[in-house]
Amino acid sequence: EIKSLLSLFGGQFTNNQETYGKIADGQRELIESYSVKKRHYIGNTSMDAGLSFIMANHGKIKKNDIVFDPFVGTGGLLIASAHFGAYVYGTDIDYNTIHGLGKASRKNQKWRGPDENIRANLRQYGLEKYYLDVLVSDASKPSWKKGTYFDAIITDPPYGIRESTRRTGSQKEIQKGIEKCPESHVPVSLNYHLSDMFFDLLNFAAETLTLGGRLVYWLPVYTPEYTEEMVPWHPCLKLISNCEQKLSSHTARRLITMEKVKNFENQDQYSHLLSDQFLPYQGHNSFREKYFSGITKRIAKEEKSSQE
Amino acid sequence: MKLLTHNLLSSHVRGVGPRGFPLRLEATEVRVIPVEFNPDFVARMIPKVEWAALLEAADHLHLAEVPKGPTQGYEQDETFLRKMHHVLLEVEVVEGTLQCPESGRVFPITRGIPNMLLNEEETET
Repeated sequence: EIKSLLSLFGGQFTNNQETYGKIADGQRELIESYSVKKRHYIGNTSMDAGLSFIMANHGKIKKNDIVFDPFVGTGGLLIASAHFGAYVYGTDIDYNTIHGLGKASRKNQKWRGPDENIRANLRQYGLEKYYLDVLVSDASKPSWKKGTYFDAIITDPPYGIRESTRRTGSQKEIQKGIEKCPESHVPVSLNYHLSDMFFDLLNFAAETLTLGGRLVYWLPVYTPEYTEEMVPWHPCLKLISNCEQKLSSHTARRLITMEKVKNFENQDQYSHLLSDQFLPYQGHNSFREKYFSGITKRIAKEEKSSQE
Repeated sequence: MKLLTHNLLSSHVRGVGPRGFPLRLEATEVRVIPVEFNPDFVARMIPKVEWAALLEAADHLHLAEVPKGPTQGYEQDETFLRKMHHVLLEVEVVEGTLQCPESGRVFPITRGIPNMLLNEEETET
């Protein structure tokens, strides 16, 4: 299992046992004991336990750090971070997920029970002392004060496939896919373009990470069109690694790790640079269409007939 | 919601900027839950704390024995660190509100979780 994980990430697997916590020693037990199958609270897109530890490792998460996940879902990445002794924060736009309400993701279970929420997950592993708070919040409109206090931001943003990409909008901009959930308190949902989402994420990381702090996130790509230039960049963040995981024959996600190397000064200073740089990534707004379109099926069919 | 969290939150209502901090805290239900004392973590948090905001919030929750500021050599001062540990991490607002000091907009806290969502018109561009 260790070998297959290593090949998955092209050998870019740091084994920094002393500083960053044990992951290579007895790794099989770690993955087994944190398996999502046994976890009290899961969602439709809960991160595989092994991958969540790899992400925490990439984030150089260590004891007494503060780690934040702005798309926290059911909290899998917080569990891995807490395992390494970090104190954790999470936010999500989905009220029901944060509160642990609504329909269950387990087969044969209709509704979520009272022990199903992020805090309960940490409690399950004896990590509740590392739970700081979770909030219902729109990652594109964060509520954090000005300052640098996150040692790492580790996250798996929605790709718009199995979970929708959303942000709050105004009454005027009503589009298809409106949520009518009085309890969930999201006034209106807009499609959140992927390129905007990564712009916001990198900017937020540049503003709130401590110097040397890391941002680790998954970037969905449509493989036939992917180039390295598409990986979002920011003047304050240095790209440390970029590892591919195939999802299907023509889609993949890339685990991006960045480190803050420069203090954030004035937002206006960067927006001009960033909008030009993001043009290559605009194509990713159609990641969702490409994923669902007949293109992938047609290509698969062509490949199959050429093999015969 | 813990008081450490309150100390990091700010209103993002359009136009308020830095005047959105700190949020005014009111609570109708508070609980105290023991959390294992970790002096190193608490010491790390001290430089990040905005004291006026912390004292105001603690006052609204009627907490006693809240240090007025860091003591000299606080990193080794266990009494000080234990008090700060209690205030920052062990007191939780279960039901209450956070109010933007500039716009008056109220964010509810339900089951210990603040809801910071706003409409498009209300938020910063």
